[in-house]
Amino acid sequence: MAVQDGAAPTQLRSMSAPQPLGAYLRELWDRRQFTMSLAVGSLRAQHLDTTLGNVWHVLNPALLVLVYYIVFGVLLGTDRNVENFITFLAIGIFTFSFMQKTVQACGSSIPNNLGLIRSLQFPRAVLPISTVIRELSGYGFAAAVLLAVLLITGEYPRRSWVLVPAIVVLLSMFSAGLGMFVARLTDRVRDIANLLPYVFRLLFYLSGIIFSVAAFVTPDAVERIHEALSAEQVRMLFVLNPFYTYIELMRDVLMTTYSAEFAAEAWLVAITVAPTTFVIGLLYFRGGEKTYGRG
Amino acid sequence: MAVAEVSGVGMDPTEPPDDATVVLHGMHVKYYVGGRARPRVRDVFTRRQPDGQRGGRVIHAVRGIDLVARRGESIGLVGRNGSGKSTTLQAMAGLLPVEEGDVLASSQPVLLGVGAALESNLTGRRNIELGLLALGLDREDAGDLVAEIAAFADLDEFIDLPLKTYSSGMRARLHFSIATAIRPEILMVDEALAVGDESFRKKSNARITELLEHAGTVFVVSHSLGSLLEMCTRVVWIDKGQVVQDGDPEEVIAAYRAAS
Repeated sequence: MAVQDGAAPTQLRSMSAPQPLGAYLRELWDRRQFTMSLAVGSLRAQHLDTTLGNVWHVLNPALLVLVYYIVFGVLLGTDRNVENFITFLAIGIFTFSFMQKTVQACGSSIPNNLGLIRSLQFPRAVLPISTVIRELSGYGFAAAVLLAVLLITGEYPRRSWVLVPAIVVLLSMFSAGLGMFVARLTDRVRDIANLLPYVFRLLFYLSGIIFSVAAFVTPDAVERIHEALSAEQVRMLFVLNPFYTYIELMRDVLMTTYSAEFAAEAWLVAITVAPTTFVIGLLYFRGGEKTYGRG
Repeated sequence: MAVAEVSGVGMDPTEPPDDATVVLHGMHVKYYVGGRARPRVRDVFTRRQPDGQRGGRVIHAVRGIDLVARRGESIGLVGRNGSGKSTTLQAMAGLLPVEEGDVLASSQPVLLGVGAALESNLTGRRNIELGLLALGLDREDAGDLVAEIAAFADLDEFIDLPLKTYSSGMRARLHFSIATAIRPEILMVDEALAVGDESFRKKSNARITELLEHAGTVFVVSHSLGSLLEMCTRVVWIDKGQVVQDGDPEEVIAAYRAAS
């Protein structure tokens, strides 16, 4: 068959078969500017309909800390043995709610972007990843509130603060991986979206946000539940919960009045869990690549 | 319109010619919809898709289409609402999973649909940039094209207003301008031209001719038979997800008119 005006023969490739992993990752990397642009775009659009607009990015976290401080610090008195409880609380709340929001937003990144999915072909992992970037930039405002809390309560910048970006990178990786996992699972079974808030509610109470694990998991408290384990062993089990681990490390690094009981173990968990979760999440997400946007 | 001397009508999809751009071979597409099509608890733990026998609603939208498209062809798709035209385009672009059969393409097709949703809270200009980045351009190249696209879309002061203030015609113009600005080898236009006004229609026809002259392939889904006659070198009539007739635009459209 003659080829038109010396044009090279076309190379046909399948549009329905999944791409090899290498090609997928390369294409994902090639769309990094799209990923950024999407994140910035939806961040700007988030509070567009409100009177205070972007002020809400700062106001939301500030109000959240205030509410928790009134309920737990003042009314219920869970500040047992914790100096500078408000900072302790603020770090816990900001870190946890960032992870929660990110995982949940990743979970709905497929249904929320059906228009894009149905009109443009790009590696779908762009969507959860840009969601993480969006949440991360949104939390820049929360970081400003947190900094204010730190300064007001007498915590001033010191050398250990340089570890904060490292912790943020790790916990973002962890959240992205979990988010991609949840995204495919939610796309397959929409019911998951209803279940998630309860899972996170439980995690919230298991992550020592409103109380210090060291102060509450005492020999007395443990004996009532289980006799075989010592209080120390139970407290160490908490470190296996990455949500708790990242919060503890944040506190350890930022506060002079608080130090994590199992800092070495916590770093070990934090460093191994993040890349593992990210890789597993990405691979699982890619497995459903061709089915997104069908529903 | 450019008249292609080549045509893939009646060609064997298992032996595509050297200048084939899109090849469909026994393509089937199904949708799983409706309340009872939702996965059961045990489906979650197995890898099975819900199927029709168990009371789920399955729409078998495309039932075995064979088609060979070649460089320089502009192919119109006609058929009644729900006949599977748009689904065919979406599957060809890799946007919908294919149940059975094969879709081969020489490069990533760019599909232009009325429903194409970019960020409606962002301005036209920001959307142009976003669309170009999504198509795989880098920021530098995209920046150069934004002004050109804005001029072609002819949106005047609306270019700096959020997309939600646009009329459907303006949206379609913007989408068309973005999709064709990168001169895709395979362009698919789904009804998007129908909402444009007369002057834009002329401009868009000229743009499509240009793509065809550069050895591209254009697919057009439209209910405007007149514009298909004017624009296409080949028309495929689809009904109930199958090809009824494929060939010369005048003949196929005459047959389609006679049948409806």
